[in-house]
Amino acid sequence: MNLQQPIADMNTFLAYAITLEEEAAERYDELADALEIHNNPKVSRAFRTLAEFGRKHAEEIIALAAGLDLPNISPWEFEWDDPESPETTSMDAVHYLMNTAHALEIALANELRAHAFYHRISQDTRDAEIKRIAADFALEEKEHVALLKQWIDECPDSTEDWRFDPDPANLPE
Amino acid sequence: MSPDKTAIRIKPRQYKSDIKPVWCPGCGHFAVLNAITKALAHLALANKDVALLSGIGCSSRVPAYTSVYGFHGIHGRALALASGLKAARPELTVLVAGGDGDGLSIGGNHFIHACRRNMDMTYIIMDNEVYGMTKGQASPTTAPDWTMSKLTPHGTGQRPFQPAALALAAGASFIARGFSGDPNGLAQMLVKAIQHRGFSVIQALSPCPTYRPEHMDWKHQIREFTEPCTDDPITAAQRIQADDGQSTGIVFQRELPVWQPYHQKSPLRAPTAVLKSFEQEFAL
Amino acid sequence: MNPATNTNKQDISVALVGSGGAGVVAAGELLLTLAFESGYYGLMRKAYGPQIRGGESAALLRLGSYPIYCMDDNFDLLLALDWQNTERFAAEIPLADTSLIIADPAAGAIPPVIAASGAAVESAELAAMAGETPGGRGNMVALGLLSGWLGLDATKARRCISAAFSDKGSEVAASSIACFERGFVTGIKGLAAANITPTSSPEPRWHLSGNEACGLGVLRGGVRFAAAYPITPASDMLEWLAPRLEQLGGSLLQAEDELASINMIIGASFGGVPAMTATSGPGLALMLEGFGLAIASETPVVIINVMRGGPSTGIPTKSEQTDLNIALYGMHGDAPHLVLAALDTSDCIFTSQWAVRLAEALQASAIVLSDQGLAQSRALIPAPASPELALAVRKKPEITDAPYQRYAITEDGVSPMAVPGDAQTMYTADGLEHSPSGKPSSAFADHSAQLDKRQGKLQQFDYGEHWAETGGDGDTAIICWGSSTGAAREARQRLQQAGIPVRLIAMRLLLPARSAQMDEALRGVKRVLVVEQSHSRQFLHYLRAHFDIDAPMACLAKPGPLSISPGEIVERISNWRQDP
Repeated sequence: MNLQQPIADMNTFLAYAITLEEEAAERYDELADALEIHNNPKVSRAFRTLAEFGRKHAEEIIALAAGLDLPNISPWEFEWDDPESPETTSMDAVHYLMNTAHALEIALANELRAHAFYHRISQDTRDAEIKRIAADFALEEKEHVALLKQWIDECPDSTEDWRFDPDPANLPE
Repeated sequence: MSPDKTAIRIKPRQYKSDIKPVWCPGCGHFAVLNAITKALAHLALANKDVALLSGIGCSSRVPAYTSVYGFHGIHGRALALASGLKAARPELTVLVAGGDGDGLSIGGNHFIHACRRNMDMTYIIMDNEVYGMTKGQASPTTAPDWTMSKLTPHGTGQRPFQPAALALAAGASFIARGFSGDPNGLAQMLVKAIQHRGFSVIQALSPCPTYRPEHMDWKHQIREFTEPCTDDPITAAQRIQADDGQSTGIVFQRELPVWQPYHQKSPLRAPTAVLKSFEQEFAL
Repeated sequence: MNPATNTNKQDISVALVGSGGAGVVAAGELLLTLAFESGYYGLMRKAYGPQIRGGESAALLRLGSYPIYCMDDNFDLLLALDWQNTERFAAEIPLADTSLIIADPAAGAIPPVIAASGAAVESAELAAMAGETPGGRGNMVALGLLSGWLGLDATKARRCISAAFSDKGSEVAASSIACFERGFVTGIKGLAAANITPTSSPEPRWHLSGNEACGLGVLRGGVRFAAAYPITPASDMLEWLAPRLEQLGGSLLQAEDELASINMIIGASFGGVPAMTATSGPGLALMLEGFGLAIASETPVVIINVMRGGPSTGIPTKSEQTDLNIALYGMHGDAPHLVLAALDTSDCIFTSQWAVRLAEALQASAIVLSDQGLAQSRALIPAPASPELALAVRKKPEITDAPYQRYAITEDGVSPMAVPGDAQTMYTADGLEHSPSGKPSSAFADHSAQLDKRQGKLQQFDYGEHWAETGGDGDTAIICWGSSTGAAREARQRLQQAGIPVRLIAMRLLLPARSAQMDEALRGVKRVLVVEQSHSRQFLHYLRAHFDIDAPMACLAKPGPLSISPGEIVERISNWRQDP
């Protein structure tokens, strides 16, 4: 999709960027909560850390947008390529027995999509200022990608049978 | 796009409580919860004026995860609970959520009567074609040849309900099917359902990663209805019957008479005076 | 003197029987209205066959110079328009050899089971007399005969008849009045003048049924929403309530079933609107899961259960006190709740009103037990007072900085309850066990604290003197509950007149059981007669389970549809014997 049309001005671009970062962070928090409830503290911590990064990034963009009247765009009016914003983890990508490497792989995929999004805007836009900032953001995402790849390399390989659970399912109600 | 520069943006998270869901990581219900909070934020409804009621099951845990008024009731009776609340407090925005077993099996009678009563409320059936809280038994929307439950080792041998067809036949005035894999689309659908005056039904396909992991593929199969919403029940019936149950969208919407408490035309008298008049009926 | 006899009697008992559109119920209701207008007290029960139309039916009246709370041991007069299947409820119309049967010879022979009573028989050619007027009816001739015998005012009678048939056209009213007059002047051979007189200075009186009385009671208590599914014998309470709730700004919703109605009233009450439903045994059985939700979520509701003979469909048009066990013990889990019982027609108002107020003040769930006998009888009673019950309304939360806790542990066990629309107090009501904040919890500490709270709020509360109607002295006590009270009161009075003092404890509040008050009421008692209309002695077992009663107990228990008569109670006490 050519994003020139929907993202024609700086305010809209920033609204997209803030939503992208905020939604990513909120989703990481939701996943951290879900893993915490399912007694997987390591992965919960990983998602919590990723949420903090995301929130920090969102705050930076919000600061950048200070004083601007950003448009109020309904969730379904954003023209993302995927059902949700590019850096947001799909809710079905996780498992209660997943390990840190899985979490980082998920994050890597998210960062790659975020990079692609900003990169494409920097290519498509005719607005010089948007081009500059989008390129900046794309570069930042690229750095995240590199960092995540490094972390993944440092993680022990996960075993084939990581989904194995010797206990039966519970009957809560 | 609806740029509204004066409105204070309400964040969906303002509608979430600090209780963390017990749902399995990967469950579609997380997305339905997000769709609900996004819809409420879009409509900028005051938390205090919204009630979310439910029955029993995984999906029925949802009220506690929101910060509106909630009622986590008993199995199958959420619609009755909600009908009483709406009749007593018509000014509230009333939402009801629950699963396919809760709504269509144990609560099936309440479902068809809620459709025909057409009270102004929104019902979200979070349909995962399985009972999750009791270890994965077949539900009324499970395919007849699904043999993974020990309770029905040969499958149910019974054809599943088509919730949209049931709702249409019973008289619902807004019928839609959404998908947890498209939470933003589901949120928009919810906004329209809440805005609709009458009983709105949304079947939200929401896969269960634990008991129906094969349904995680739904995201590759589900697509939108090719035709727009109709207000003609015959057209809607044909469309629903011709569909494989995996097309999403609002399939039927029509203004139909809404049940609401009978309102006095004349101003109400003081209760003591009215009670006195009843007592006079018994006296000479 | 035989204390069982109703001495100094200033009341008469009349049974009108007939079938297939004979109009005995209409005639009975008119007679009751006339008696009301003429300054009498009274009670009228109805008995029917299973047919919707055209079945055998009976109007059973007792009229007197003083308030009447039960049927007498025997009927003084049985007036038959015909004998179609009358023997089916012959047992409900006891006759003595002092009774009189008036029958139309045209209706054929008196059924042997009725003739066997030894009652005298007189004939009255009702059909022939009615035939003298085009469109005339025998029931109006019968009404005239009875009115003449009782010395009722014919002018008032004409007005009542005209009013009763006002929607049937003037010809019907005219022919009815003509038949009435024909009966009125004819008189009955062999029948002494009735020994009853109107009250000398008539106090204000009301004319109503138990079902209407319960309806008025819940409205007085503050109920503004009802949801219900039709069931005999509760439906006419709901029909009475439907338009009246609207006049009070409330509403009644006809539910798809009882599972829905209980949940609907829980929803309404959650919304802050006091709510009730009415049902009978089978419906109560369906409601109890929902009732558990009301208890666990501390959402106040009131169920008025009008008992009929069970189990299953049982004898749905007949009375019995046999939903006691299900009301007391039908719940799953430890589920403290209120069980109350109305003692008579007038008390239907008080007990229903009290139940609503208790439920609201204690955020508790209440079952009020009435029965077909009370509910569908029409009574002429002294106008009841409108008591001001000193009971708080629902406790509301105060807004503070601390997070709102719906199920906070408090001294009296009652937690402030927010309702939707209140700002800053959003919470989720839950049938799952919960922490004080309402968060689901299966922890021992939360479960035991909430169980203590839900039980404590009911146990600690001071119910005052209303737990029972107590009176009399002596070392013999009658303990009864609900609608058996009428017969027990009269038995006590007869024994008193015969010089046998007896105490009466008629229980209105069954749960929570007030054991200290019971001990006090029974102090010095040497023997106890338990009276109940059940086959399995449910009430006796309840008393044994909940109270320490040292005195020997005997039990007068019998199933419906036969009501317990005062004479039977008197006999059991006069000829005291332990249960085998």
